[in-house]
Amino acid sequence: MHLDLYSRRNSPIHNWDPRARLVALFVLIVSVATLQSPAIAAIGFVLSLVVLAVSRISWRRAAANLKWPLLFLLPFLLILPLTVEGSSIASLSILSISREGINLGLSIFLKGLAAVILAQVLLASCPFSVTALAMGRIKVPDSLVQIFLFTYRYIDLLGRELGSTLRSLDARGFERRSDCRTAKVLGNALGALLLHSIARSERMFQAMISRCYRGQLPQSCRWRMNSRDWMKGLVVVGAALALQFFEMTL
Amino acid sequence: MKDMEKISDKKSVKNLGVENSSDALPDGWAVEIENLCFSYPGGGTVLDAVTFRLARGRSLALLGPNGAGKSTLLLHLNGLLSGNGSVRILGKKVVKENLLWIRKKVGMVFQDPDDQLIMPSLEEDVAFGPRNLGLPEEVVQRDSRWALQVVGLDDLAERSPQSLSFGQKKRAALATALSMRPEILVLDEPTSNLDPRSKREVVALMKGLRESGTTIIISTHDVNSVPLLADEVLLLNRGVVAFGKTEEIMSERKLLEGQGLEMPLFADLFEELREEGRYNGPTPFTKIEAKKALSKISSAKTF
Repeated sequence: MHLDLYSRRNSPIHNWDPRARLVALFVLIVSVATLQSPAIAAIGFVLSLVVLAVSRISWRRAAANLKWPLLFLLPFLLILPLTVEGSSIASLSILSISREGINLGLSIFLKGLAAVILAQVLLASCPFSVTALAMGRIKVPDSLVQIFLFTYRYIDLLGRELGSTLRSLDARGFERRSDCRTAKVLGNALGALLLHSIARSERMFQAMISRCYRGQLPQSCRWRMNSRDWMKGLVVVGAALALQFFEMTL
Repeated sequence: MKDMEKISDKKSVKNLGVENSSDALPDGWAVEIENLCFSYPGGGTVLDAVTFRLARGRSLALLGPNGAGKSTLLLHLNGLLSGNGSVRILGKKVVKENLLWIRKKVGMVFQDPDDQLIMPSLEEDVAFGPRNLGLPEEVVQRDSRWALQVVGLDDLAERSPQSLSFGQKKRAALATALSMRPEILVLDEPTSNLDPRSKREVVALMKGLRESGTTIIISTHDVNSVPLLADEVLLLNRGVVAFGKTEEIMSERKLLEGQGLEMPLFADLFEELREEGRYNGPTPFTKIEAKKALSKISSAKTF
């Protein structure tokens, strides 16, 4: 997992003060996520693509990162039209496709995609630690910042450990099926992984303490907001507010 | 005194190490441990009346079988664990009030580098300790750069630690301790799981630090590296089994085998030759010493 792979690029998003970028893009994400109308959600989605283009982050990479969110969002698009009650626009045997279902499914799908794209831009446009430091600067509790930082650092490691646990099961002839035994074996493997991760977190904490860690991450960056940072912030927050305004007036 | 009795049981190693260090180095003690006992909650005794002292600028290898308490002992040197007994670092007792000072003086390198490399980039990881000490940013940058240069990773400063090879991670973990400019360096199995080239690189690094006067304590199973790295050896198996000069301890086959260890390869070979009556010189530990010993054997044959 290397979300900040493109953090060294040069773009108006990359050059933005990390605190302003964090606050403004977060406001935009919240605004998009709370939209109800599929038409406004579509505008939000287009807006997220514009932000992605401005950030000069690879489209291919961004699309690859959408793979898992898409798997989560597609069922909304496919199932809700068939399950939400409302005015029927077509029927297939006993199934009826409702306009309200399509609207709801489309709105969830589009705003979900838009939020993920914006979150990608937010996390990919500077090193992860800079985002974490910016969180600290805007008074996000220190413990939350550290959880955020270390989760990112160790999620990859845990993924690799899970991979090697599963490989060791495969090596001993274990076949994954949809039965109780499989569930039991996988449950045990995940439990062992959890225990390992607890032991690892203790060792990791000891390693931090040994380097004089006292509960706070050291701060090294000195940032100063300039007029361009304020302008970019105003544009993005303005866009977020405009989406809400259109939604209300629709 | 149990451990001292154990030491005196081994006639060949008694009166070495502690006493010698004291005479040779008047700078004082880097580490003084007296009657240290420790048990993990719900577990048996891990350390039993461990007593030893190490002079400043000396290097010590901690040898012992798995579960002997080596890592547990190392954690006491940084105040990460606290048992019964006394631990002093550079004359200061390891107690709560001194912990920050002690952690500044004692650099710890953990066995698994993934436990130690926590930040998203290598340069941030190496600067983590100095920044925690509240040093000015220019000092942090200078010391971090120096530490990365020492371990030969200055070109990779911006890389994520996750993307490094295992050997590079080991060296990176060492850099994270070195950047705090510690007087004592404590390393838990620094050469474990390394390929030969990475092992050679780490050993060369250790030798360089040793020559620069840093006090080094290494826990290891790699008996062949011990003569290259350590002035003294402490054989641990919950208590101190033996403590003395490296050459003395590492040529004691029965003592080492009794603890599930073995002699270094060259020493083992020439001790066998000695037993067969084909060699009577000093025990060689390094390739150069072994070559000298071989030429001595061949010249004896010539005459």
